[in-house]
Amino acid sequence: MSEPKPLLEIKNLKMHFPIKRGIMGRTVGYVKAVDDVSLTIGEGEVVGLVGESGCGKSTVSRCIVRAYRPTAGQILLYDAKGRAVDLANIPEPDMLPYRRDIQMIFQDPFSSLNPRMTLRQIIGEPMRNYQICRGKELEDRVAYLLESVGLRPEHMSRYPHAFSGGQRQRIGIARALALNPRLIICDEPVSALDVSVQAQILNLLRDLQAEFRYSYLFIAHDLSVVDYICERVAVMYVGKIVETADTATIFKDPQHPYTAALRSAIPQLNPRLRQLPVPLEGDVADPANTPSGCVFHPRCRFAEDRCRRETPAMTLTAPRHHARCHFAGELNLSGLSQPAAST
Amino acid sequence: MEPLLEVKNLKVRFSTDEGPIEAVRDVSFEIKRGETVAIVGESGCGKSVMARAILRIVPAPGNIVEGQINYYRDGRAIELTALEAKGAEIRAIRGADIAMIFQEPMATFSPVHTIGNQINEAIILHQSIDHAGATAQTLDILNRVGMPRPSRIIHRYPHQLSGGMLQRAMIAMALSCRPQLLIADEPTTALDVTTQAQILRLLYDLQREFNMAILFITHDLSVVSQFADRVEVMYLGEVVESTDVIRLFEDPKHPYTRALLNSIPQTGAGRGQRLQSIAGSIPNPLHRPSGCLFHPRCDSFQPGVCDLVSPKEIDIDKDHRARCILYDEQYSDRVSSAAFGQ
Amino acid sequence: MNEEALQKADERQLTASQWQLIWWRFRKHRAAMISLAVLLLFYFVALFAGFFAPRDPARVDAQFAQAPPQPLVFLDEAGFHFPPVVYGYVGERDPKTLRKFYRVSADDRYQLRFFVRGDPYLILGFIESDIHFIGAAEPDLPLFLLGTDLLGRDMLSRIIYGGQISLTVGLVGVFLSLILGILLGGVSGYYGGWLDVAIQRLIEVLRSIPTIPLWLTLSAALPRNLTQLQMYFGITIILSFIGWTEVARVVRGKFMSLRNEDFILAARTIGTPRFRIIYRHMVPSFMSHLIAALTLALPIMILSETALSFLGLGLRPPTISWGTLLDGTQNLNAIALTPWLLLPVLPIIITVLAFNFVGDGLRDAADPYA
Repeated sequence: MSEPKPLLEIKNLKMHFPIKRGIMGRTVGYVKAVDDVSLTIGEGEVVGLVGESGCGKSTVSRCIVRAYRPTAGQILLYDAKGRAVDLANIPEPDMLPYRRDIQMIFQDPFSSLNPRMTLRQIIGEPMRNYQICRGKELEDRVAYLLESVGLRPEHMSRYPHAFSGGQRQRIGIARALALNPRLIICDEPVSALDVSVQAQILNLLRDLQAEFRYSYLFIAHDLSVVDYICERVAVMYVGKIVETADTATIFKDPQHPYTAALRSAIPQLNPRLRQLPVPLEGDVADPANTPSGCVFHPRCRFAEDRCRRETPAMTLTAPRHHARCHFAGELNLSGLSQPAAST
Repeated sequence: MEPLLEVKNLKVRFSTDEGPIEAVRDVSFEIKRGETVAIVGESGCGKSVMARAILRIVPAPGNIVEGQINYYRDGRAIELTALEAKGAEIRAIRGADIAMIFQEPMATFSPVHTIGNQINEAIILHQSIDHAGATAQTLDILNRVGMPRPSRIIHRYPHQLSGGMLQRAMIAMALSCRPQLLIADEPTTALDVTTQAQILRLLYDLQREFNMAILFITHDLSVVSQFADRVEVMYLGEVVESTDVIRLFEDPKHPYTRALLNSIPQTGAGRGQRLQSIAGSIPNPLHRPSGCLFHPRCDSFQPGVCDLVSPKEIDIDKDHRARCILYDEQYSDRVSSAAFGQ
Repeated sequence: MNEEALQKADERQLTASQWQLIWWRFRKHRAAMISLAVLLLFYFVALFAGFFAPRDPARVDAQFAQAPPQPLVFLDEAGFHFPPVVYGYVGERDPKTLRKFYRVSADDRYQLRFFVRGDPYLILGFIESDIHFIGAAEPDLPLFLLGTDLLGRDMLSRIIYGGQISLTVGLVGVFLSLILGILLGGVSGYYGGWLDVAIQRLIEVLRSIPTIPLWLTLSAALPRNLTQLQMYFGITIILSFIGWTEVARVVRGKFMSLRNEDFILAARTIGTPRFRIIYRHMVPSFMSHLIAALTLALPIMILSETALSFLGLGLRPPTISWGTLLDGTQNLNAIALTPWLLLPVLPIIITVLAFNFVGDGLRDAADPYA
């Protein structure tokens, strides 16, 4: 597979939130929500970012849209001619022209739509903001967008409360498409939905991508969803990316023990393959008080002295496959990813 | 095996300003001793109301309007639906015979008492035992649920524990009186996959150890496949299919069950095949469809039958029932063979 | 057909805006609806006070000072009367104290008429008229349905005119509080930082001053030679001096929680300018809560005006407000001999209760998306 042209390149991104105490708001420490994350998303590529709650995957997405100003690092957005602008360091008002290129789909279809606006206003707002069109033309464009996400244009005057969760998620998608962006950040777009509508939304996102070649950064905690939609996956654990690889490889041949554990923790949809494995003991590390060395070592069954002392670097284990482990490529993780039947 | 709990034609109705909502209608099933029954369904299918009806804690304005729930203790049936909802009898059963764990452990524990005190209290409430004895039992049960360092945990407040540890503490409290039946309402939904794996394993081991039955309420079919013996699939307040777990996954009969199974992405399947999605969304319970509740979304929809007739539960096989006219001989002449699909 | 009607009703519900949803919810609150009707009636009467008041409130009838209320009579031995009649007064003298007092006596009966000509007044302050809703057939006959005060002025007319001030002083005060509160609270909540700290400390200091002495000081500071209108605005400013702090706190809290809402972040990602985010997304989200809170704050303002005026520190005669009308009741003797002077208390109680009910109803309906 050839490398696509880069669209967004995240380099050594850090987002440390200060912990403040007392009336005077003295800083007593930092929550290292994102700690040295590097990730590239190519033109038309669908990249997954997975991890458990609190691993910092949502913080990464919110840094990209500049909900937060990153503590350190670069977020380079490339234009068609290959010139880059660093979104991490430009002042808020200068973001405006680049916001068009990066749109977001949110997890919660209820809180992400203003309940006091009609669909016409919600979906028309981005086009108003950039003075793309107005009046009848705007209305036609909203109708077109509603149709392309599978909603009926005649419902344009309705308010979000008239729609179910899945339909609201479609409204959110239509809003994200309105500016014809190059990158769409999907922040857990189906995890708040009912099982029977999840597939609709996943298929819609897949079809839109196939038709318009959008790039997606697809954030999820559910590996099977990522497997269905992404070409490449990055796995995060406590603020760091621990492994990146093509989707097919990462599930067949994980190199980081955490990825292997995550993979085997997912219950299989087959009652004859009953295992109930416990791939990981203990809890996720506290990002305000991270362990020394490798952040995963307290839960890792392969941990050695070196893991407690040295922070591992990202190492290339195969083409397009990186893992942040001292023993990447050396461990036999098959016992984790294919656990022995225990019942 | 003798039944432990038996639900017969249960109907729970909520009277709201907009009109009555039948959250559970005509639901029947039974749980045998030591068995795990899963009630699976999406939001609004009535699975949680169903569970609460057993303990008689249906929130207002909900009421059990029809049906019976029988609990068997020492070979004697106790009709739970006939008991006073706030009376002493049902309170003696709650916690001691039937215990419940919830999705949100934070909401179960009082934030102003320590974990130890709250579990002690549950023990003292149901057993004649002094405080020291209760504490000894609390430590023992916390040990059994795999709580690290129980002697320190009992002095902690709920907000000082992680989600997985709180879930363990809640399970400990529920099991403190050795219930015969544990109702687990989405116990792993709020947890991460690796923590979910820990909790499922724990419940599985404890069930063997205590020989209790579990009524497992969930929306997640993959958890069901790993955990349940029998499955009741619910949709909009009705059980649409009911059978053992192997047949449910290998030979699902109801179009809803089939569609649901086909719409779940699985790891390893990759980007190759497309997911089959179910059209439309779950109807508003105030505006139930006529006839079969699933007909507007069904790919085996038979015009003139499904939109008019409320299907009965049909015994397809031994211990395998589905609420669908496809299996009703009465309508066999009006159903095209293509409808059976897959 | 039934199906169609159902669909139409549905469509109405689905395209209903926030205010429609709030109104539909509010309508279900019976006490609030009745109270709203009462309040609307009060404001309507106050707006056309000249028309509804039988007399000029300043007209002195010295010969009928401290006359008791005359009941309206619809039915007596002479049969049914519509429009009703009233009985005239008989002056008597108390044999012990030699005090003159009046008694209503059936000997003297006169007919009332609707839309009669009487004392001249101005409609809405600029149209001359002398038509009154109800009055005696001849303008000079004594007609005092709620009695007269010490100087012989008609209490009913004075109460109706008093409503003009008392019902609006709170409204203007609340409006000022609202403007100040939204501005300062918004700045505090949206920008944060040292501005927020400064405004919060100011609010805390203001709220820690006991209100009655503060008002006393402030009204004592108002120059004595103000016109009635200037005095009126002076009082509203004093009333809103504390009121805005509550609004500012609510607004600040709402801004802070809204800042983290997904739909606000969504608005930013689609390039919505900051000012538009505030007035299009944030303010409408808490406006209904604020209105409910303010409706509940109104009765406090009305009571405060009454209290200040009663103490002689707010509005002063000849300005007529429910507070100044009660001025004459400070003396116990007056209450014993002329209890009808206490009647202005009734509209105060009714208004305050009604505002409370309406506020309760609004508060329950304020968030139709909950």
